[in-house]
Amino acid sequence: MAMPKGKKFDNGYCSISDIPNAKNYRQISVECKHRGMKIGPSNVRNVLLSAMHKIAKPICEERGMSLKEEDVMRIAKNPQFQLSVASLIKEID
Amino acid sequence: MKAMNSIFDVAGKTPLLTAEEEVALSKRIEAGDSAARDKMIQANLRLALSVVKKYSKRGVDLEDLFQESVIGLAHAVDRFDWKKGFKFSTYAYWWIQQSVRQYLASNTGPINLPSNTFSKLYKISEFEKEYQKEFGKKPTDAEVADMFGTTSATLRSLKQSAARTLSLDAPAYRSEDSGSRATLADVIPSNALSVEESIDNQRLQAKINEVLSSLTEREKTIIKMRFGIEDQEDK
Repeated sequence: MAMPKGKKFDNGYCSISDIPNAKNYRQISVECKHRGMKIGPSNVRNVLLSAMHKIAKPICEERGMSLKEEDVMRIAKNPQFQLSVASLIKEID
Repeated sequence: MKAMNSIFDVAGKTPLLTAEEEVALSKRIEAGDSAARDKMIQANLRLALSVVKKYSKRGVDLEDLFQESVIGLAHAVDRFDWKKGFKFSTYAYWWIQQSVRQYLASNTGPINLPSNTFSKLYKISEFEKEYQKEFGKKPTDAEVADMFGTTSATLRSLKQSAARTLSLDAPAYRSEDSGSRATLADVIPSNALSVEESIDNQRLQAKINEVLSSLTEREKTIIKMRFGIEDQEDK
């Protein structure tokens, strides 16, 4: 069943197909293996989400938003949030 | 305008020269006869006026434009070589046109363009007009760039450099009865952040920087790989 209209933006996956040099979880897993860091694709996703969660939590706190685990996780999974974090890391680098 | 009228009078009353008269005058000019030079210039004022007429709608003073065209004409008189057998007007037309175009390039806006840029822009606009006439549509940037042996990016920057400028203090409306004194600066929305927003953003950025530095190397590497922001050094 197709995702209801208007929901994909918030609940869908963060699309990386339009970002140059971006990698999917499997590609990251293979690349990490080459670098001597053994990690499976699912674990890559878990690490990414945990990092996003780490970043999202203090921001929620700063903004006076709900600190409930599920709310913070929803923000961490948000494609827009993830892309913003990525662009910030790029800026800092 | 009064001055222009007297110029029209003088130009209209001076008879045009025949080819033989032109050669005779040129020989005298060559020998250093300044009266012959003046006569040659006066007899060709109509040519100068015809060039001025062509460029008269460019928003510059007509008298100044005429003066420039006469400078071009005088230059042509000094350099004309009658031995080559051409009519003087054929030769002088290009000198007058060049002089007028050079003047227009440096006086049509607050940004002075180099004369070669101006003439390139002129050629581009002529080409676009011709293309539209023939095919009924405007040529694309790529087509124009191809025609002039340049890139689309260069063409765009050329066109941008020639764009008309407006003062932000210019009145926004032309309504006379409303008495509105709003300027363009008042009605153009600003994209700049307000002071509060800017401070808020700075605080947020500082917070994120703090968190980012607490990420493990593995987390950072995975985020970078995921979003394609890895440096060559990282690999």
